[in-house]
Amino acid sequence: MKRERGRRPQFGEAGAPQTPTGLDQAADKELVAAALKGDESAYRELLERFRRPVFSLIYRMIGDREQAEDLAQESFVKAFNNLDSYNPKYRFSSWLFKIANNHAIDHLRRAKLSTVSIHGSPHATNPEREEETRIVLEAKDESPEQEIMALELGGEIEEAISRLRPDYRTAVILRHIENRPYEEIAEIMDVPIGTVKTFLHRARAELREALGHLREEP
Amino acid sequence: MKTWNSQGHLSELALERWAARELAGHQLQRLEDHLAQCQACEARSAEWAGLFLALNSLRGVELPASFDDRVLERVRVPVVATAPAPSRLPALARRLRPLAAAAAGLWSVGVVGGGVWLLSRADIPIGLLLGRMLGFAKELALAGTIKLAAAIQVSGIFGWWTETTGTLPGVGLAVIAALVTAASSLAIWTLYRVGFQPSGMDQHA
Repeated sequence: MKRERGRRPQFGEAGAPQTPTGLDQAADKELVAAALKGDESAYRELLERFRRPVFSLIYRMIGDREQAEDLAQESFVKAFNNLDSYNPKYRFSSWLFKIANNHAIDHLRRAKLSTVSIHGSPHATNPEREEETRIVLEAKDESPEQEIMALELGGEIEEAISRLRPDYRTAVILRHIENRPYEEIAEIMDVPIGTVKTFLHRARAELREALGHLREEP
Repeated sequence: MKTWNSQGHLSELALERWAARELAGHQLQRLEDHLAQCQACEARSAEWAGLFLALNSLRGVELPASFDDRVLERVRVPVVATAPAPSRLPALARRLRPLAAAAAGLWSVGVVGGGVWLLSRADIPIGLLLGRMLGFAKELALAGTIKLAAAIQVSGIFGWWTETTGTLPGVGLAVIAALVTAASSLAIWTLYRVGFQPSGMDQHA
């Protein structure tokens, strides 16, 4: 199989092959193989699967919705345009999350931030901008009373997570929000599994401490 | 994992693993037995359980629908060349292809060159020459047909033909016609593939 070295057609252009059906049932690696053969719908399915988790990771890492969207976009473009360098020995999700996490960490380094605020970007110059960039909490299907409690607790925990150091934050987000196994978190963060467990243990201890004031209330 | 601390209570790590539902079997049983008897550990376990409840209630964040299109606009879709169909030309015919091309070339040069040379030497009008050539060709074809018929007669093929068509009139004719058609088609196809098949099979899209 040879790949043309010159310019390749963009989505929607003639020359971009279309579409086997049933891609929603395919494994990630099969989608990558189809994408490498020029199947546009395989890219769409990969986006459908990973759009939300990748954005959530970056958003919670940097705490600014607008910049998180840009970084998520950059991450996907970088991953898709370098699919031929993906090693199928590993999970595709690990590879993609690693790219996204590195983008977020680079952003934090450039901005010289280690913690973020869920109340809006630290670079917000006015209240409107702060409102645009804050992390929005969503309650699940619960009664109004439970909803208020969940939002309150959710707000507290989001705030506490945003104050964790970046590697602890990555581990917590991947483990608790994205439900990734320890092995995959280790692949994404490029550290041994034992280190992931240590990160999580220390992060949880910090979070428990940060939420301590809630349990002192009657 | 260290399950107990120095005061004989459950360690923080043990409670964390319990809250994370990472314990099973005997370990889990021992821990829950202790929790049922120890109020201090029970209180700490409630804190850990609350933390995990809060963590696990967090959800992913949605993106606007336009996100996919913005990404895909910047993605270069690979164009993969269609694999060339494997040639079904027999190996011997493939090897003979250059020889056939050379022979065809020599033949063409010989005929055209010979014609030009003859014309220059004989000083005969071209119409007359072509007429004579046609006459010779007719004579040659007639002589060839007569000799071929005689050869067929001598070889006994004609007798076999008569016998076959006599015993199996309809079917025999049909079989012979099919064999002749297949053989001549195969011959034409082979000549075409040997003489005219382009060699650029490994081109890509």
